[in-house]
Amino acid sequence: MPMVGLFTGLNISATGLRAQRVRQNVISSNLANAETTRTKDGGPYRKQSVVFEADPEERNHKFIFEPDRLKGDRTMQTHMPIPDGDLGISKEYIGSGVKIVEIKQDEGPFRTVYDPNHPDANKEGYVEMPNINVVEEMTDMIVATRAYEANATAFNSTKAMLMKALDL
Amino acid sequence: MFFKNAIIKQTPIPIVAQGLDAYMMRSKAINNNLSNITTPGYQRIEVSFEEQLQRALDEKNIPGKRTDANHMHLGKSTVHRVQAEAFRAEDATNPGEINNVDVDLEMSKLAENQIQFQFAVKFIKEQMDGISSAIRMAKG
Repeated sequence: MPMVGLFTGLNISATGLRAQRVRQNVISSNLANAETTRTKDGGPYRKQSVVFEADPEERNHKFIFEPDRLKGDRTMQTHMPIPDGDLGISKEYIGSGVKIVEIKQDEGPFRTVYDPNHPDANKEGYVEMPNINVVEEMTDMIVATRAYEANATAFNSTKAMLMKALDL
Repeated sequence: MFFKNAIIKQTPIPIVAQGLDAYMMRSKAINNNLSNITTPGYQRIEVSFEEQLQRALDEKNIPGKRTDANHMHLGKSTVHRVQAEAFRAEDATNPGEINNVDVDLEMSKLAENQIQFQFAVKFIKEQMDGISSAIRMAKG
């Protein structure tokens, strides 16, 4: 999704908010199914986790505003600059947030619990339980909540800047 | 155009406006860093503007002289052509495989950036008020 215009900053924060919300949903699903022994695919529920990737869509304003002019390419910040054209358009090589690549199933081994009275127990009396560690899920949930808060703060700050610019 | 050349260019407004662009861009960079806070291997993006402004103001640097408007600019940039630039920060202590976004750092940059933006807006507004009051005076 190309991000052009005034509200890019808000959109970037929105991708972060969305990513953390999806992660929160997946953690909820894991916690809800912590004891589920039957699924549609057969066998117990498997832990799911979200895979994030930085959205690399980097864009150069100059494509839009000006025909290409010779420009010095610097490989280090300390090099002498060869400035380009007179038009004061900022170069922008900032990505456009985060995207969710997939929701992956954890193929790790199941927990086994001794419970001979359980309907899904095998001959030896053991039941295969989902490979979910509730404490791990809880810590992941805290991380997701904090990351969500950080994104919400960034969103509010950008919003405040845009509102202030309207005062001009 | 006359208004712009005769009045606005006499004031610091164009340079402060470049600052506004840079602050907006920096807020995008911070948003991008914060949205990738849990992405494995992500390297943070920073925006340099003050350093470049400093370099353009530095007396020790030599500006390249151009004899034709079509020639390429060389050496020191003039203050009016300073542009904000986004780059990936390099940490000597970080081997590059680990996500190097620091929440506290990003949050302090966020607050600082917001204040600088608001200052720039206020500054431009007051300059504009000065110009319009001068125009009113001239009318009598």
